[in-house]
Amino acid sequence: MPETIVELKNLTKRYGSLTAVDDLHLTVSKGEIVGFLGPNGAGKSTTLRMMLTLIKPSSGEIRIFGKDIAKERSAILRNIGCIIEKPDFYLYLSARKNLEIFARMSGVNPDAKKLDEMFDLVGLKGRDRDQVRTYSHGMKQRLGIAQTLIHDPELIILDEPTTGLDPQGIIDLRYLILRLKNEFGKTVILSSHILNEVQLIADSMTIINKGKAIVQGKVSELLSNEDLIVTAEPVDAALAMSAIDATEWKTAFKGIEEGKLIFNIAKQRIPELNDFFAKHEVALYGMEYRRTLEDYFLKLTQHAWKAS
Amino acid sequence: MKTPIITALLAISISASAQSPKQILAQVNEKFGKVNDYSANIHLQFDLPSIHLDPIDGKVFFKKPAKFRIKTKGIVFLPKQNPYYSLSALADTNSYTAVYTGEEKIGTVNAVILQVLPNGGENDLILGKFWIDKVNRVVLRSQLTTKSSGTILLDNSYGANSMIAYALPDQMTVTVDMAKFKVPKMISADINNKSTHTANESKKGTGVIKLSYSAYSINKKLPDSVFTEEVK
Amino acid sequence: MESLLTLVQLELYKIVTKPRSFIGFAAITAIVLLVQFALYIDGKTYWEFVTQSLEQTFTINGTIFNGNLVCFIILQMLLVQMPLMIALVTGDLISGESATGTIRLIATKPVSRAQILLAKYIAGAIYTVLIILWLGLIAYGLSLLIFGHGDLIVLKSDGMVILRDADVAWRFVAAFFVAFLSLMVVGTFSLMLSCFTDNSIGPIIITMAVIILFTIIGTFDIPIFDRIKPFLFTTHMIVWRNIFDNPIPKEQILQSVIILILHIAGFLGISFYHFTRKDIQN
Repeated sequence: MPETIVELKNLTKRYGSLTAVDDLHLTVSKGEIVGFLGPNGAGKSTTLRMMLTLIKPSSGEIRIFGKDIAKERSAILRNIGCIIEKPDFYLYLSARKNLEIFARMSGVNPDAKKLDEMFDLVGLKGRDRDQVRTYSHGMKQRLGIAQTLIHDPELIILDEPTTGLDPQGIIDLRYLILRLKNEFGKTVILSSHILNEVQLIADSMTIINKGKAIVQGKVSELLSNEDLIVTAEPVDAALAMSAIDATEWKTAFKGIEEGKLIFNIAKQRIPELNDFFAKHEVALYGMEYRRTLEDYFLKLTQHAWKAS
Repeated sequence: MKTPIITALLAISISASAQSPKQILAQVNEKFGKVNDYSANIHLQFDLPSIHLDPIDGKVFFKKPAKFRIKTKGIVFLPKQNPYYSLSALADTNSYTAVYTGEEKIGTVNAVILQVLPNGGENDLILGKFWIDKVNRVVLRSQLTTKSSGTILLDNSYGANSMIAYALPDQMTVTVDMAKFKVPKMISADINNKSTHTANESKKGTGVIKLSYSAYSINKKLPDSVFTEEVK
Repeated sequence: MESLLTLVQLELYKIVTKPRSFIGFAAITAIVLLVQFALYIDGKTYWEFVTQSLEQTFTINGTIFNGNLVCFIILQMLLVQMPLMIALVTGDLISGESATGTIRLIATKPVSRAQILLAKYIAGAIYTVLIILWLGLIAYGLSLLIFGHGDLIVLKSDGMVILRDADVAWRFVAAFFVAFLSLMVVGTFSLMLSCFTDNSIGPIIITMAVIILFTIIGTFDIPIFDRIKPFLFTTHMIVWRNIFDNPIPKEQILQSVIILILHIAGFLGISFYHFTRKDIQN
């Protein structure tokens, strides 16, 4: 049984009549990469802020490394590296000085060699002595990563770490996180509103919406190919509908959206469905598939965007 | 027994009434006239309404006929009138009219009171009143009313540090009329300062400056530069 | 203790490397040099205008216009500016971090919020000491160098006090100490406001507005204001002037010092209470 690094029990945060986080349960095992997903305003940042004592919970318990954060805050935080929202630094100081300051606040006094290593690791070698005000957003993000790692913490919490990174930067970060887990045995909590970003590297994930955990589980189980949403866009929807009527496809048929037929089937049945339409002379503009979770998450984020 | 005493008293009174006020003043001037110059140590004390000024030591210089200077390292407020001005004014007996106005006891001394009225209107002195110790031929008190500086009262005492042979006192108390005095206001004057302390109190409208002299050094041929050079 | 020292070092470093920290030094230097220059050129004439009424009654001997007087005039002139210079830095200590977002990072470090606040406060106090020392150097030291020594004439609403040169230096030292306390009240007040806002301008402006308002209330001789005045910290901030009285009203000064210390304690208490409990949302 892997060791539990993080345990949130009945975690709740209320702001007056608004419940930002509602009776949340979450566990993170040692050495895992955990995806923490939800649309904007779902309560992700609030949850992470409570874990890091930026915000006080209204009720509930937070245990990290087996200790209550309310009672052993310093000891716990000494072993956590984090970026919450965008990484901000002292713009009038150099990147090197910024890193040194935050390292010393974390209880370590890095020598020049250690600092050089950090800057090399995050791809900022040669720019370490520049003032942070000259940095691009992506460079600040990299510096933020360096800041989370400088004191060699056991648990790393990254809130939307790919924001502002270019595609190569995103790939580099992905590899870095995998390295942290595989080579250094770190535990990583990765918060994001982009499922694709998380599903490539996370071992497990929790999706929250309106403060409540909606989906929790292993990524391999949640994002299986057995349960896909397949969308077929027929030229003649009425013809397509009459074709599937009174066939086995009726069971898998979930409805029509914007002229597209929605089916819930396993991946290996897609060619079968394609053949069916061909045999019944139902011409298609196209066919595509998503995992049900992706579909669900997409709807969730679209709804949240419209609401905002 | 009584007769010799009465005779003696009569003789004295006759001799007193025999001296005119100008003769008395001339006797005083004769004594002081021996002083060509002097220097002395001086200790100044101040009792001025609305002004708190700590005592200070300095040096005083005088040169005939009326050069006078007090040198101190700090700030001192001195009467506008030169304290020897009155005596220098009395040197020319034709320039004034002197009148005997009575006697008054000052300490243990019976002082003769003489009033001096300068002849002619061009003099700064309007009226002078002198209490004179006839025996020692020194001025015990003088009250001077001048056009430029109002009325000033000078009290002299002749104790251990005095040079009575030269009519030089060891203490001079100057009483100044401060009725017209106002504390000047300036841009950076205090705000909100309702200090409960008030400066030394003296008779309302009058201030007192006490000059204590010691270690007189007389007729040492003081150069004129002493009265003009800057105090460092 | 060690971590507190480390934090203080880091906070001092941040203050010293921030451009705005030098605004205070630059402004004070400029004002002092300007006043010294003006008084050097025309000070005697200006002072003679003031002593005119004195010289109707007395002959004044001695160097009235000297370094001590110039220093005293300068300190009077800086009554409003000095608190602003301090508030510029102390009002930014917490809210500046909130505005830039660095508060999120420092508040997730294994140091308590109380330690963070205390370290910032100590660094702010050190900054205040440095600025006072600088002021002492240029307002007092430079004035003596340019204008020389001499007795100090202090004008009061009900008279004047003349202090002997030998009796002035220690009074300036004591005055600077009391001024430090006064400025710490301003610094603590602006720090307190800084804990409640996410921008630096707010605490600075509110601090100055409060000082100006309280000073105006202190100036008016209205009975209802007289009841309020003893409770206003600005009333006690100018107690340094009483050190130049003779005799020194020790009880009054001690009372004011105690009230200033109580204000500092009160503002600091509120700061700690709020900062250690507030949710950091930005």
